[in-house]
Amino acid sequence: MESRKYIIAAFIALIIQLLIGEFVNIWPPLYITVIPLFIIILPISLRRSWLIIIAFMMGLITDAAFDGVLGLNAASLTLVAYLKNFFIRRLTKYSSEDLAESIESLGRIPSKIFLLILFSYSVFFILYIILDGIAPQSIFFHRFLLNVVVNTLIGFALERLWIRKML
Amino acid sequence: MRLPQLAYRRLFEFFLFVILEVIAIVLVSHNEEFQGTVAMSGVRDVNAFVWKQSAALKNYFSLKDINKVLSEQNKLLLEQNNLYKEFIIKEQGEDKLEELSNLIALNTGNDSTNFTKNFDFILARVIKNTRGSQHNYLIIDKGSKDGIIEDLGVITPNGVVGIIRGVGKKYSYVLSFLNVKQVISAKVSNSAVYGTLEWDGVSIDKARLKQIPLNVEINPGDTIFTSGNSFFFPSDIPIGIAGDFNVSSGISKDIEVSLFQDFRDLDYVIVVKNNERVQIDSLSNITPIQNNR
Repeated sequence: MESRKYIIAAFIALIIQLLIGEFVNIWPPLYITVIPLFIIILPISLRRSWLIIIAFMMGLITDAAFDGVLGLNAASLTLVAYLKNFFIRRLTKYSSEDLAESIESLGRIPSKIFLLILFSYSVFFILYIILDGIAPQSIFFHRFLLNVVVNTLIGFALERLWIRKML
Repeated sequence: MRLPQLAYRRLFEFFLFVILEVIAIVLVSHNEEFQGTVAMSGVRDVNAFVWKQSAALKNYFSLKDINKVLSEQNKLLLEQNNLYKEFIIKEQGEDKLEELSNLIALNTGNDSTNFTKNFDFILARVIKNTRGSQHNYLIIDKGSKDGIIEDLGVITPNGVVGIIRGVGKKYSYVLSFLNVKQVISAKVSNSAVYGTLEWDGVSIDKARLKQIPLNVEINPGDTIFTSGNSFFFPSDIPIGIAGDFNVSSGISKDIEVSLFQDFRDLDYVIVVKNNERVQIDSLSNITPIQNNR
């Protein structure tokens, strides 16, 4: 039952990404993505090895279906998945064995959820922009900042308004 | 007992992470090669099927039919132009064609001798056109069954659209000009100097013409054309208008170009097939052993 919920969430994330890719074209260096948010909301009880594999597969699907460069999202999402528990441990000061079932454990403190999303999007975009490579180097920092700020705000709003209720 | 198990698990997770990262980075660095694979062709077929429904819905609510008619007319005009040239060459020789072309050049200020010579044109509909990222692409509804092969240029009457990098049976993958990896050869009107034109990665209406020598005089408002130096595009297709320039490394000019092509509204495109290329490719494929014979 629990896993079905997250499979549905994965489909919804991919559909949202598809719609964003088709209809939201604000500025080419700005990449709006909800897939890292899906990795963040997966239960903490899920083994990290599974989390890494799921992140890689979701990234590869995103690359093949929407992005046009195979591996770009896959590499960045895998990094987010690998570091997710580390971020949560830093934010909760718990050891990994004490972590609760999901980020619900952070739920009463919105600032911690916000920081988790902020850290996750930061590592996602550091790798994404580095691998994107040939993009104008002059706007590297602006691009990073803009992407992290916009995506964190969207991610936080989605988490508060919708995902929390759905899961 | 618990600690070694945990350490073992962490080590396994770390290696899994490293392996998947390496796979992903290899995929990124060899992206163009992977786009041409059978697996990606299958993915594109699924993609194209989904986007075809969306495109059909869009067509229903807009003036696509008019665009199609106009594109067909344009293709016919290009073909007619070819036929006229062949007719003149057959009846009156190359010199007469040269003479007529010079006459046209005198009247229009533009040499059109080689504009469509040796090129075939295939009209295609755009199924998907991304323009929101640094590595945009298009999917068109023509594939190998329509005579499409890799490395063909894609244009519209308004300029260059991209180059075909992957071909399936019914659909093809076009690396858009709005892709930071795409570079084409271009020239400034009334000049024989060529440079490389590439998208600036920021605005979908702007590109930069690079490697133009400092001594070449360029004025804002000059038209930029395809050079015809590559096998992808015929020469003298207008691409955009030159704007301001800056000096790069003290040796060449980088010129800002406002593109004629509006990538927001791409419905039909023309695939350009260079007939000379087929012959040259076949020569290139001759192995040294064959050559020695």
